[in-house]
Amino acid sequence: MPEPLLELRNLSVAFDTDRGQIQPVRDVSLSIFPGQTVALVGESGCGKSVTAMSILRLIPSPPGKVIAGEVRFSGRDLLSLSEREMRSVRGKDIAMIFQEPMTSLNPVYTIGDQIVEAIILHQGVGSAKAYKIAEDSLRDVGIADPHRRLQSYPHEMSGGMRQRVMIAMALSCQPKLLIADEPTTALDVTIQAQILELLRKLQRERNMAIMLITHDLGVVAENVDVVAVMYASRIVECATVEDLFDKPQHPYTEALFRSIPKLGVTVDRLDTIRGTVPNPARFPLGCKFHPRCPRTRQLAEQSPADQTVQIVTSDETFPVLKRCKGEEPLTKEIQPQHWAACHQISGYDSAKVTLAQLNHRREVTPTVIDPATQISAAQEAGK
Amino acid sequence: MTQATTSMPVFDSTNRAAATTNGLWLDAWRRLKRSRVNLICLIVVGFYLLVGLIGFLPVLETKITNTVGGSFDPPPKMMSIHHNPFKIEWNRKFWSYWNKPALWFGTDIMGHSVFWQIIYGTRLALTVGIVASLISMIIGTVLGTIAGYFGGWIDSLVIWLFSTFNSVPWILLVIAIAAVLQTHDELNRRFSGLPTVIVALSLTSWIGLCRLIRGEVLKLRDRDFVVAARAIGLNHMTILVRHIVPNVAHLIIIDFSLNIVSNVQAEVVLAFLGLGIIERPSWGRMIDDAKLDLLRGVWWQLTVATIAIFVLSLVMNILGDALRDALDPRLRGVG
Repeated sequence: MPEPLLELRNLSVAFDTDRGQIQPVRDVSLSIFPGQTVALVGESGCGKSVTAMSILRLIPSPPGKVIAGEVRFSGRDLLSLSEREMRSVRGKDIAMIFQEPMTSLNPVYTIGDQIVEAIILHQGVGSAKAYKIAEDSLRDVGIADPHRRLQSYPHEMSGGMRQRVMIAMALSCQPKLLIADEPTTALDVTIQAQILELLRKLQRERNMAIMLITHDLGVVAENVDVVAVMYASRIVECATVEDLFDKPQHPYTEALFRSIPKLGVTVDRLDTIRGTVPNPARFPLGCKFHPRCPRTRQLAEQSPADQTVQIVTSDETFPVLKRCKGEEPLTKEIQPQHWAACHQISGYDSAKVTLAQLNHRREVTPTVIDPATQISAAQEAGK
Repeated sequence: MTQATTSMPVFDSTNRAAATTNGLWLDAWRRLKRSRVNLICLIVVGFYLLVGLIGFLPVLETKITNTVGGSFDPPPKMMSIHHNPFKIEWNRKFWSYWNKPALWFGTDIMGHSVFWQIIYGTRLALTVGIVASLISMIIGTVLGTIAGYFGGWIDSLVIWLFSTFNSVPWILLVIAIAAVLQTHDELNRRFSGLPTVIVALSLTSWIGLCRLIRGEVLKLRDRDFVVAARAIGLNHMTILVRHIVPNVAHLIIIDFSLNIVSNVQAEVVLAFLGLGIIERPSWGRMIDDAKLDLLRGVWWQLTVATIAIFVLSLVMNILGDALRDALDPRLRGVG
């Protein structure tokens, strides 16, 4: 089995706040292999971005610190590197692009100056050569007239173009891993598709690994090889994209899928997950999902009263299983190559806790979507 | 380029307004010069600078100590008005003074030329104003940026520092610093008390800028482009110098321009109190000297110095406001 490029082992991150310590990342294990795309999925505030930031050691410290675990990149533990060594990893080995292309470029510099900054820093080339490389990388991300564009300021560009610039900046030093923190959330749908297509193309050309942070399951289904679902600072399910979409195991993942509209199916109202993501300062005891979990609620209604316990949420009172409220499930390999954390999956008790490692590539690389076939398929299904 | 066009649409920038690539400073300059008042103010400031430079000519040192006439010679009169206001008697000799600038503004008690004194005073005022503002700009910028950026105990220390400085009335502080430096300092005597004034003023006028910058940097440091700069591997120093400071440069420039006036005015106040510049005709000393002579009807010394200060203050304040509008359009009409 090949070595993973990036391996998170039981990573836990804590922040000191006025109301005590909170843990936005708890016991997260995840592997990314060269050339693979791994998605980190979850609602806002579940710890996706903090996980990404702690890989590059960018979480603001004092308040934040990694309290346990390892971040292994190409065999080195990034957490034990000095700040100087870490700076040579950032940008060169691991690059990052951000959600908001509108604010992630410095308004007072031309985009050329900003791309060149990283190139000079990591490749040790002169200014003229660096501008040449910057021009090439702008051309790679599909920006017309790159030579002139180098002289543009960020405010002269649209959101999609700025995100392309961010990608050009991140990829100018040929990183082995790209962390994309919701790269398309702030863009409109057509631009989203273009940006994702661009990332796929560049990934194929360079055999680069991508860690894609998103809450858009459509993006996940189209683009990634392996999915890790996060809920309340923990990975609750991790599997290949086919596996996860075919047979989701965790009730949270199931609920997520139920809340996506389906093409050609007419429903009055889309399913939602009741309640809200718990605040890390006030996580419930036991399984963090139990106050919102349809599975434990359903099972509790059929179980004898001594195995259930009543819980009170903001708008209702209902029974849940005692075990779900009392004990937090660990992320176990409940099936080969499928990890999940839920007491109520058959075979959970006998399953073992292992590190999630999935060296998997999706079989079909989706081609550019043709709107015409989509529409006819939808009409077909509607009939 | 060719393979990019096949797989995805490429943005066409040729018909966009991309040709107007100016950047912040050119835009600001364009906004500034849109108003005629601003242009006039700029010309006046240029005039002051020119006069200040003339003040640096070595010949001035003798001009201000030479006796050019009798004690309290008034400036040449253009006309005399008698008891009958309709009967104006033109002074035919008025225009013959054109080549005797030393007498234009009259003389002081020693018979020294007020004209040359005011020019020398301009030099002193601008030196104090600009150098003290530069020093306080550096102190304020450095402390403000590191406090805002690093936070934690550095921030606490800087806050403590400027709160402490701020809690003492500035004039007391200036007097204390001036008094301490003035008594025993060779350098001070050589430069006629200028270093005292500059040190005292720069140590008190950095607080406003420091506070302003700290607040702005607090806002900036969590912005994505700062995180992005760290994510490409830049160190803190580079980020501070290249990414943070340029984004607060407008504040620095605005504060600098307004600080010059307040430092010039503070110098006058100090001189009036008998502190600061010694043995040289600064504007403040001229006013201080003239205040008693006013009772004897000697108005010209006081008037000329006051007008010099007034015009400079007015012009610099207008320019400071205009700079703020030009560099930070969001603040237009605020404060």
